[in-house]
Amino acid sequence: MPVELGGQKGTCTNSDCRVSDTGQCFEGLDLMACPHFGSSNEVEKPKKQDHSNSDETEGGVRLPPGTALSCDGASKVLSRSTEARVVAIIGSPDSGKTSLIAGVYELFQRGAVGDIRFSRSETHCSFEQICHDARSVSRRNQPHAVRTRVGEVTFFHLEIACGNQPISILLADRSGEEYRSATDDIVVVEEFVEIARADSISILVDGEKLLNSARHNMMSELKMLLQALKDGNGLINSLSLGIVLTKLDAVLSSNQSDDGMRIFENVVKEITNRFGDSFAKIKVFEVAASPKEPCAAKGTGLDELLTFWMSRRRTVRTNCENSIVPSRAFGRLRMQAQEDNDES
Amino acid sequence: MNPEQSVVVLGLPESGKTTFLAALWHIVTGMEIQTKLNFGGLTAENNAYLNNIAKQWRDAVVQERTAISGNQWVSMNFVGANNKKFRLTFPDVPGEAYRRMWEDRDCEQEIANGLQAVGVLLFIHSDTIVPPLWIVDEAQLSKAMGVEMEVEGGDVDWKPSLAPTQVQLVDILQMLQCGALNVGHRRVAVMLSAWDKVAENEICPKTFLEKKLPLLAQHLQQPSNGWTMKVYGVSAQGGDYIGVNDDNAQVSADALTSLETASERIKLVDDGGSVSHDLTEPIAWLVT
Repeated sequence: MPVELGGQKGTCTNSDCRVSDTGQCFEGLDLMACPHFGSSNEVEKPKKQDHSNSDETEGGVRLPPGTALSCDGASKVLSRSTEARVVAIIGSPDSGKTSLIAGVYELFQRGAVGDIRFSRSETHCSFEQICHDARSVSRRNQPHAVRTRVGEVTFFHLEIACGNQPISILLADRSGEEYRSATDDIVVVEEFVEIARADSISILVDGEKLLNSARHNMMSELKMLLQALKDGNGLINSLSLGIVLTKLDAVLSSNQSDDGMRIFENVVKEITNRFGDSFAKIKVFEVAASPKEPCAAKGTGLDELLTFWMSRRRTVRTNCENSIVPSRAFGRLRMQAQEDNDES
Repeated sequence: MNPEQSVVVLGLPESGKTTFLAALWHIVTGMEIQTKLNFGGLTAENNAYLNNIAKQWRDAVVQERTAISGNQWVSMNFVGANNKKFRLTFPDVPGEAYRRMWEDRDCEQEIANGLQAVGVLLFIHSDTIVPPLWIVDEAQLSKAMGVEMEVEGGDVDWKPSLAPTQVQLVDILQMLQCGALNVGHRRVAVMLSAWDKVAENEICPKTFLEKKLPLLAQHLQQPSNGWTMKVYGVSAQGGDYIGVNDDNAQVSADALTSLETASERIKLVDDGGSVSHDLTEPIAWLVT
């Protein structure tokens, strides 16, 4: 149960903290001052509904909600899709995750992407919601993206087709804060069901931060995050890794753009040298999903990234057999992933 | 009694559904032109609604909004190929009901019952399509024109009604393929209404759909989604009607009512660019 603070219920993002049981902050801080504590209205995502079918109700028919999928909803998509890919997108808070997800959906609003065509989506409403602040109808001066809230991972669904064969892409949306918490405690990695089931991981390098003093913390955080995934046994499936430079427009429009690109190259080298053995392949992308500057066209680089996301995980058999049937949705999705591996 | 068939008439508010039914009733009962489906006599049920909307249509008067008149179920007796007789039922449902499916994620049982037919007439007003527009494009355009981008009022929060037309329609069509509304493979005739407003651009209806509503076109063209599609441009009204707040409307309405044969104000353009006055053509294809 969440603890109440000033009449508001709250929870803590620190997995060690038992504030909901004890009412005390794990770090001994006043609850108002603790950066990990928040009111449930702010930190919890709205409860997601099941998407599989419409439902008859009294006096009418309830239709699929069109919102981002829970783990159960994602599992259902996986079970009924002939071809499906799970994409984990990781990075620091504000690194452009939401813009990236929205940007890929927006590509198809303009038409097919080369040979890749839109087929359908079970999450139109959530896509529209995250696209809104970059659209003229929002009456903003500049494109803006809402931050992913801390809470359970959700999945955006996009079914695309290259030829007649449709492929369901599930884009995992988890807050940067939660990924960051894995660097404090690698046990958290067990809960990253999207990593366990992923066909590929895309790690985001924030182009805006590359150009200022925030880059040192960002680069450290990205390396620590990959280390946490590795040490927390999150990288056991020989995944593909995409290293994605986001906000390319910010880099190109800067008078330090050469420096920015050089620093990015170094980041790529460092990650490749240090974590190359943990991945089946590593590819590099430079994207401008929702540019604020005109030097990069909207959607630059997303077509290549989409093609990368369509590639299948290379399957390897591991020695990590889990004999306990997990009861939670996370676990069920993980089991589904293992079953997929066993069948292929 | 003739065998019964039905067709779904689907479209957002003011997409031309009722005007189409009015013109169709005139064509079928008037027998002024040759049609694919012929009049099979009056049904024993409510013809008053059809007679009334057809009269409004002949007088070039704007139809009363279905939102006000409510759900109407109309039936027409047809004689098709090989003298096969059948009765076709159309729901004339306010577009608000379909909008509610997108915005509120539910629909009345009566509406759901009317969505079970295999054939779907999907109406889209070709002159009022809301496309997705992006801030970055506007900013670039303003810059190219050397003017400051002006944004009136404060930030607008997201709500479902702000979604582009193509997103709303794709989502509604997806609803027809799942759960209680799923009847398997369907045929859809995309009816681009007010075609006279875009006909000057000399573009065929299918190309128009692909250019103006690319997300919808991609969805319908993907075989695994279970749609077989034809696209038509339709001008069932023929021009502006009385009741429209425009001085030119009276002139246009006068021109329409002065035509010797009312059926000739109707224009239907098919995928191949052929033009006819025969509104039964898409229906004949849907029920084949």
